[in-house]
Amino acid sequence: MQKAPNGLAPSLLVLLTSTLIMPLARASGPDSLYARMGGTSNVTAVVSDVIDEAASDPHLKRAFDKVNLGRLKRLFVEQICQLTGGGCRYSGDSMHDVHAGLGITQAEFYGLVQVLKDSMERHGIAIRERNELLAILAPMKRDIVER
Amino acid sequence: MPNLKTTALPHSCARYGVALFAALAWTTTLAANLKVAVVDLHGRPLAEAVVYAIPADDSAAAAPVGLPRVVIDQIHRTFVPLVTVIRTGTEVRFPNSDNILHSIYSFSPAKVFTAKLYSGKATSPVIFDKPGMVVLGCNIHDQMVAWVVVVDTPYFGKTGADGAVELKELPVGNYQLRTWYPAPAFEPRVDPIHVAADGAELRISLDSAGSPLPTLLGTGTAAP
Repeated sequence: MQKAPNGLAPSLLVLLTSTLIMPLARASGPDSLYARMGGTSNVTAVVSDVIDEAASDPHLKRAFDKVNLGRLKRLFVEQICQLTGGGCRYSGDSMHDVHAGLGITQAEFYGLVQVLKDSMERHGIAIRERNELLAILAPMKRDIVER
Repeated sequence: MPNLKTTALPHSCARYGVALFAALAWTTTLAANLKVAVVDLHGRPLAEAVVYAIPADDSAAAAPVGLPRVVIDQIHRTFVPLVTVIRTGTEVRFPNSDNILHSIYSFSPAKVFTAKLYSGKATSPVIFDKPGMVVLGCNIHDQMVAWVVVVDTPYFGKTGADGAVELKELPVGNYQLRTWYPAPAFEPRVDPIHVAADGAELRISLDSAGSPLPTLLGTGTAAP
């Protein structure tokens, strides 16, 4: 990992250590992480808030300019659902393709992670599940951050 | 046709006689230019209006040769140009100067297609093989819109900022002049015209109400 902005190092540590419990997250059915996060209704609410907040945040909105936010939300939910045992199939493009050329910075990446963490907490997702999801999403950083 | 005002349409008997004689003598070479001014109902020039002339006698139109290479670019998440007019069979390339992913599509009957424009990868051109109106969009950036008007005639053009367009080298004769403007539910307007040996000029008034054009053009030019 390269240098992270001040104050983000602890959360990075959480991301790394929580990869140890990933196998549990991959379970499907009622024990799946998807179900434990509240299923489609709660994940949709979390994602909707994340996208709306990011798209209006002065530090993050750049990458969302003129983007069809409804479609983005639908695909993000679909992706989380697939990755957390919810039984969906993600129909979007690869993380590399959808971010290529946007010039996403480390600061923007961690900024969005923070918005996601806050939204999950606000929607009643427990710390264990929050960390499990972040651990699943963390490896995408290499396909998303360009500079 | 209350809004059609034609000037310099030489169809008096004397001049028609001269034109007819000339046409008999040089049927294949006699051609003239057609100048069209497109304005709104207040007389203000309308840019991005498409004008094309369909010969009354179909056989008068030459077969397409050497169709130009046409480009519709993606710049600041906007299609450039907004309106394109091409002859049937023309290939259009989408070079994607944005260099981010665009996912473009058309559901228009004249050309149904989807194409992913990846960052840094060239995409195959799209051949518009049927005449008609094609509306382009982008799945990822839902404000993006562009029109491709595919025509079955070599005599076409698009008005500039001054609302003017000149169609060149039309064989002398009768035409259906069609004028189209990117406004909601705008059907091409049809005016029968005659092009004489010394050319013709027309002024066409259109109801441009509801056109998203000023906004879209503004968005395209204001982006950083």
